[in-house]
Amino acid sequence: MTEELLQAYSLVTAVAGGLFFWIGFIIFGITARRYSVVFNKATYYGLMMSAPSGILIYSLLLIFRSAVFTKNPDINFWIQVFAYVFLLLSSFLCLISVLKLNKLIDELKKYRGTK
Amino acid sequence: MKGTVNSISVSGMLRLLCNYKKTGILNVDNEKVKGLIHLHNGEITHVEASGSNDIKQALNRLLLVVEEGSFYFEDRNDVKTQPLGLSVENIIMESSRFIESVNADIFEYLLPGREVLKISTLPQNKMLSVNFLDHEWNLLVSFDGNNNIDYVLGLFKDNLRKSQSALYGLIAAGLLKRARFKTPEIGKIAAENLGSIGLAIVDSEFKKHSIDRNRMGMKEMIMLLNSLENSFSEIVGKTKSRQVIEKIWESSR
Repeated sequence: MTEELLQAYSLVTAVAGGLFFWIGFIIFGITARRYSVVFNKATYYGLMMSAPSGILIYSLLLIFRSAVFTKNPDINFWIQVFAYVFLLLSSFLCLISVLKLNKLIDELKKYRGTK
Repeated sequence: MKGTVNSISVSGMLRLLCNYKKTGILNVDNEKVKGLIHLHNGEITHVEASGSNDIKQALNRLLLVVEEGSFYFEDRNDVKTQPLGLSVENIIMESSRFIESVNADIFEYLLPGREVLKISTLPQNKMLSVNFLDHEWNLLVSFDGNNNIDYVLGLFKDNLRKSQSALYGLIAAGLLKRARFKTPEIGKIAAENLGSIGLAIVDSEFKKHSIDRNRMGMKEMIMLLNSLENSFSEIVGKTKSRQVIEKIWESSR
């Protein structure tokens, strides 16, 4: 297997992984939206649905880098920096939205009615 | 026809006998008083009670037998036939005013707090003659078919005992009756079936629609249950949601 082929496989895997991750969070976001509508409380479902887009951008930037600017190390460097910033930001925002939903579910589990 | 006073009150029984235009003698027996009431075609024609010479006093004492006593009605024709001109509803209301003074326990005769009551309609050709005191009338008109007992008694909580006695009288006199539905224990049913999340959904829906759970009418209840069905199905799915809503409906009958 040549290095190019290996790189192509890894890129396709990265994009597919980002896509699955994003779909998973969309479904998670739909569930969070239901809780938000039923209980009239914030669950950050919009954030939950949009935050994983950063992971997709990360994958796309990596493809972009290897496909177009492979011979320019400076540009490659900055693309990679941006890709990782998006990844970090995206995962951080995902964590915040999940913690918010978790907090609401915890409150509901302990709920014993209004006085 | 026999009964003990913990299944139906003497007042309630007397009203039924009068409404069904019965002829015979209603015998009442308890530790403090023994007596009888003659009825002819649903009219009170004679009253006797141990230790009472006055008819009204005798009637009041018999109607105040609410604890540990028994009564039985004999279908007989050898009764006095001259009506005393007493309105059964009025004498029941009058006797209810003495409940406080004899410290009688009427709790068993009061319907559960979540029962929704409404003012009774009169049967055809029925004439009603009742003298109300202000608190009795105000209590009566507070039941509009949407308010339950807990809510109305809450309005008169300054003198709860007096209001309970009046309520007892109004129910026994047949002036108030159950509305066609009672406030279901929605929260309890939801909690039993869906746990704390079910209870939270119910409270959230009440809040969303600004519905007072003690005085919701049929219209509000239908709106609430539709909304609850949608909310339940968002969280637990349609099948489970329908099951819970059916249980809630069941408990309102």
